[in-house]
Amino acid sequence: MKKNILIILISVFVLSSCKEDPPIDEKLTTTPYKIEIPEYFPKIILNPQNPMTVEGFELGRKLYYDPILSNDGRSCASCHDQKYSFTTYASNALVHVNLAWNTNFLWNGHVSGTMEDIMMFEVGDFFKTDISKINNSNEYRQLFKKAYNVSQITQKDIAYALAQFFRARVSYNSKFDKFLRGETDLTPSELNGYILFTTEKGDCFHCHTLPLTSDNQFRNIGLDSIYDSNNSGRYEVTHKSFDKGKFKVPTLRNIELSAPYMHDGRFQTLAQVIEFYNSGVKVSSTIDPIMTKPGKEYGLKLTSKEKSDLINFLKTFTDTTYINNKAFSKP
Amino acid sequence: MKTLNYLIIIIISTILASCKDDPIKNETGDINFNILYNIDGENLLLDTIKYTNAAGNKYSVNHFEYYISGVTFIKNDESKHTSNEVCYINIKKSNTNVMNFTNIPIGEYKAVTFYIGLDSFTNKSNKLTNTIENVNMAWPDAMGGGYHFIKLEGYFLDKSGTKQDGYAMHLGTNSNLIKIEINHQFSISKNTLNKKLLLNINEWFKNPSNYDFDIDGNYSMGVEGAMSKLAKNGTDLFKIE
Ligand code: HEC
Ligand code: HEC
Repeated sequence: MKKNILIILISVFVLSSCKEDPPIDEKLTTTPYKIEIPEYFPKIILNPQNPMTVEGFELGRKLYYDPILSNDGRSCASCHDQKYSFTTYASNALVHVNLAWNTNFLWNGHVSGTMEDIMMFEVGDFFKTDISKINNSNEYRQLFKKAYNVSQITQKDIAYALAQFFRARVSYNSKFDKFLRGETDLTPSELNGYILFTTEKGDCFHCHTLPLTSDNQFRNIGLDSIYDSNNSGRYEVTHKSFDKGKFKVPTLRNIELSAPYMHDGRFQTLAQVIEFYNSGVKVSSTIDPIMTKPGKEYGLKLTSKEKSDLINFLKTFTDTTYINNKAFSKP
Repeated sequence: MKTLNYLIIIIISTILASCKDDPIKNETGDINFNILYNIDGENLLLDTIKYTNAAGNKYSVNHFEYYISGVTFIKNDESKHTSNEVCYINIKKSNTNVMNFTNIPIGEYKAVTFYIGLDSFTNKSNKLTNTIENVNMAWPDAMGGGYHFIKLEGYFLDKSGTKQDGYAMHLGTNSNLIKIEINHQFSISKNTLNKKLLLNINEWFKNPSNYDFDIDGNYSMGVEGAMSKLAKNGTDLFKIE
């Protein structure tokens, strides 16, 4: 009988040695946060150093809407408004949607790495957040204690909380997603736009790769023929001549809501964007090879019906569930 | 009583076994391939227009990503060991340029064969794990589905040497799967064997027939003639050292 107990003890020991020890921290009792992702999306990039928790997410959300982060009354949401997929017309800011899959941030890729890295930049370099203001707030001290078990709040803690809010903002309920899941059909015009998008005729898919609609690389699509200090893009970061005029391939999710378009906001409407791809591409030494296939140098030669089909298809990326999701709005 | 004890012991040993990797048989070894790129023997420098292909196009390599799959090791006695791994390789991501194969039976080998691309069983939309890389390699359903086998991109000068243009050599669809066969004598032992897999980019553009960007086109996707020319040229890209 004793022997049995010994064996059972051993087996319990063996069993527990199979698993890694959970990070034991008696004082920290957080609730795991589960990000919903459809199976046709690629694997999300998480950070084991900053596991998703309800407390961390909610804290990041609160900070995002709080002018306390800046020194001039602005919050992140001043330029990143949920109504427009977290951009505004005036700021022409990059939208905040499905950023969890990105490793290159900002139009010229000034920051590469994790979501935590870009948040360190936003808080430290861009907002130059006065950390003492946060430390002086009783409420924030408690919230950071709950989420990260810290009593002295640092720039890193703020960046980590914000990173959780960013990572969780996943859009997967557009009409296009419902189409992929077999929950709805596309109209004939949308369907034709989809075919144009994903065949050589329109050839959008090589850069705006589905389903995320960006390959997160830097490419020159030929907006200009000369690239100088105003529009040299990726070159500003690498100083390599072959990077002149290259910009981050932006997501097209919620593109209907995020005018104006391009890094400098030069186009007001999707029709103008399509007309650029159709007939306005300018050739230079760094233009992406995808943009200069035979025939393309004379434009895509789309009919006016094909142009509107493409626009109708782009509009299927609009996700009203996302822009109305209360979980992402001002707490 | 005894049976209970036995049962417990059996349970423990299953648990123990599941903790470790599969028990490694003594008679197997590992091989690492380090992929290195050259142009007719000269080490490849990316992003510079300085190489000349057999047709006389001066060109650069700015982007190259592809799949290697179905890697098979053939023993002197003709017995074969095939790995079911699919390797995604990107010339600009150094960690993807090392392929590691484990549990290969010890012995004397005379050849390695593999595919550039994916066999018809795997070359179906969403068949591979949805990684960011695999998703970016997708071959749209509207063009037949599956994946790009290769994306090789860069710039070239026209024959007068004045006008620069881009080229994008994309290969896909089952008929263009490239089978590589390399005769090479090597032995697998208990020690890991390290080998260099040398890829000569210029071989895409010659043997058996020259590929000329000016004539055959600077864009191959969906152009069956261009793709099949590249696929046939591709069979002798590699050497083992
Ligand atoms: C004054 C308006 C403004 C405010 C306030 C603002 N942003 Fe932005 N944001 C922008 C603009 C404009 C861009 C695009 C700039 C660029 O790429 O050079 C951008 C880009 C970004 C990006 C990169 C997105 C991508 O796709 O790469 C992130 C992340 C971001 N902002 C986060 C924040 C956070 C966090 C805050 C608050 C701490 C914030 N922003 C406050 C205007 C703003
Ligand atoms: C060679 C890669 C490439 C191809 C092909 C491509 N795009 Fe783009 N797209 C980009 C890049 C890069 C930008 C941002 C350029 C900039 O601002 O300098 C962009 C911007 C856009 C924008 C504006 C996004 C915003 O937030 O401002 C839209 C809309 C768009 N593309 C749609 C399309 C459509 C439709 C097609 C096919 C007809 C297409 N693209 C083909 C790379 C590409």
